[in-house]
Order: sequence, then structure tokens, then C-alpha cells
Amino acid sequence: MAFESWSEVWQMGGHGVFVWSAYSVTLLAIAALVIVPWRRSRAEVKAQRAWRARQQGAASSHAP
Amino acid sequence: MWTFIHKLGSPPWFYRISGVILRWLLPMTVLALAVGIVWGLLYAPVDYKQGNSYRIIFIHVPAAVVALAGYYVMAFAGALSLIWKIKLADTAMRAAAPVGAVLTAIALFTGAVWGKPTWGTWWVWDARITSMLILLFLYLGVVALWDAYDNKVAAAKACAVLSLVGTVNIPIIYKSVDWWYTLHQGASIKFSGESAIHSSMLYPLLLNIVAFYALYACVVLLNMRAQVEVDNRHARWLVEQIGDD
Repeated sequence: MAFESWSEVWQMGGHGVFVWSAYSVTLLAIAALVIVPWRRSRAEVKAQRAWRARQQGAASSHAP
Repeated sequence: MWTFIHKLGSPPWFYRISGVILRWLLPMTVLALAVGIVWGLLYAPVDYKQGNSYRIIFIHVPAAVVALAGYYVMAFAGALSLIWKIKLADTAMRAAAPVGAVLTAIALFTGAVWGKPTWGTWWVWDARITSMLILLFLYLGVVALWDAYDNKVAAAKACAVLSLVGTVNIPIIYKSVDWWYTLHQGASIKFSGESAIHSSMLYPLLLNIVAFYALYACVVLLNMRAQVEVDNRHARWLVEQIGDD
């Protein structure tokens, strides 16, 4: 490791505020990039499965 | 070649293959990003001139590189959409735009935060930074233009034209540091000749560039799949693919 202790990692030789804000904003943005379409897709798939289950339920209730 | 393009335009084929790709690519991307970021933050040596602020390079450069390459992806999808009227190409173009916008914003933000301790200013209207800002507006323009049309065929056409016209900005961004006197430094990584960066810093940087490319592919595929699911709602092949699990 390039640092002696965790507090040195946090300080980054006085540049901590710059380095950590850059990394945290980037990681949040990356997480949002993945989570937004993933959630959208999951909701859509769930709705379509429910629709299909309803269709099958309706079909079987009409059976003699 | 032609059968390949036809297959590529087929939503059922795309949906199945992209599902298989993501199952492998997404975990590998997360792993590569984790290793690359920890390596850059903790293990790469400190820069003798800039101190630790230079560690921002490990996210700044990958985000900028992929934001530029991603513009070609979007414009290429736009060209496919214009020439062959492939609906999946429209979907790809629309899926790529917000990802490119976020990556460009990351490059601009991390650049500003890096500029403050290094140059003493958050922002300067030099050629590199200004042309990157134009790139951000081009991406946002495609998103806004798409949403402005109710007729998605017309939307795709307008977005494709804007994407293609905007490609003139990409070589300008690349060359801006050579053509003008910019505060922004020139390229440290060179394809030919010696890179102006030591291997102990170069390797984690290259790893992160690869990881950001993989991330880009994952997110564009995720966006496309979400749109394909909506566009093909209740289609028999989709019902079969999503199953009951």
C-alpha cells in the first residue's frame, strides 16, 4: 500500500476532500446507471408475469 | 454478414443473447471496477508532483475515453437506424445517449475537482473542457429530442441525424490538446512510443479503462432490454423467455 495508516488514506496528503468527493460521486453515478434500468426491467417483467397468470386463471375458470 | 445483421435486428435473438452476456459480463465488470479502484486509490504510488490528487486520473480518464467511444456507438446505431430502419438500432441509440451523458458528466466533474488543487481553478474555458461540455449537450440533446416526439419513427430519424452531425466534435476533443494551447495536459498514454506514465500507474489505469468499457456495454444492454420488454409486451416469445421464475 502507498500509505502508512488508514488516517493517511483518509487525508490523502491534504487532497482527501478532492479525491474522495470525485470517487464517491462517480460510484454513485455508476450505481444509478446500473440500478435504474435493472429496476425498470424487473417491474416490467413482474407485471407481464402477473398478466399471464391472470390470463391463465381466466382461461381455466371458463373450462367445463 | 447479412444474416448476422438481420439476426442483430431481431428482438428475440437479441434478448436471449444479451441475457447470456450480462450474466457473465456484469459480475466480471463489478470485480474489475473494484480491483481497479482499490488499486488506484491505495496501491498505486503517489505522484511526486501532484501528490495524491492525481489518483482522480483512475476514474477521470476511463470515463472520458468511454464517453467519446460511446458517442461513436450511438452515432453508428443512428446510421443503422437511418439506412436499414432497424428498430433495435433506434433502441440502441436511445439506450446509449443517457449513459454517454452520465460518463461525460463524470469526466467533467472529476476534472473540475482535480483542477482545483492542481491548477487552482475548478473550471476554465479551454478547448478540451469546452468541447467536452458540447459533448454533454449533444448527448442530452439526443435524449431530449427523442422524448420531444410522440411519433418514435420521426424521433429516431431526428436523433440519428443529430448523432451523426455531432460526431465532428469527437476528433476535435481528441485533438484539442494538440491544436490549441490548453490548460488541460496532453495524452499520457500513447499507442506508439513510450507512454508518459510509469507502469505502476499505467496498469491500474488500463484496467479501469477496460472496466469502464465493460460497464458501458452492460448498462447499454440493460437499457436496451428494459425497452425491448416494453416494446414487445405480451409477445409470445417474450412470455416464453421471462417464464414464471
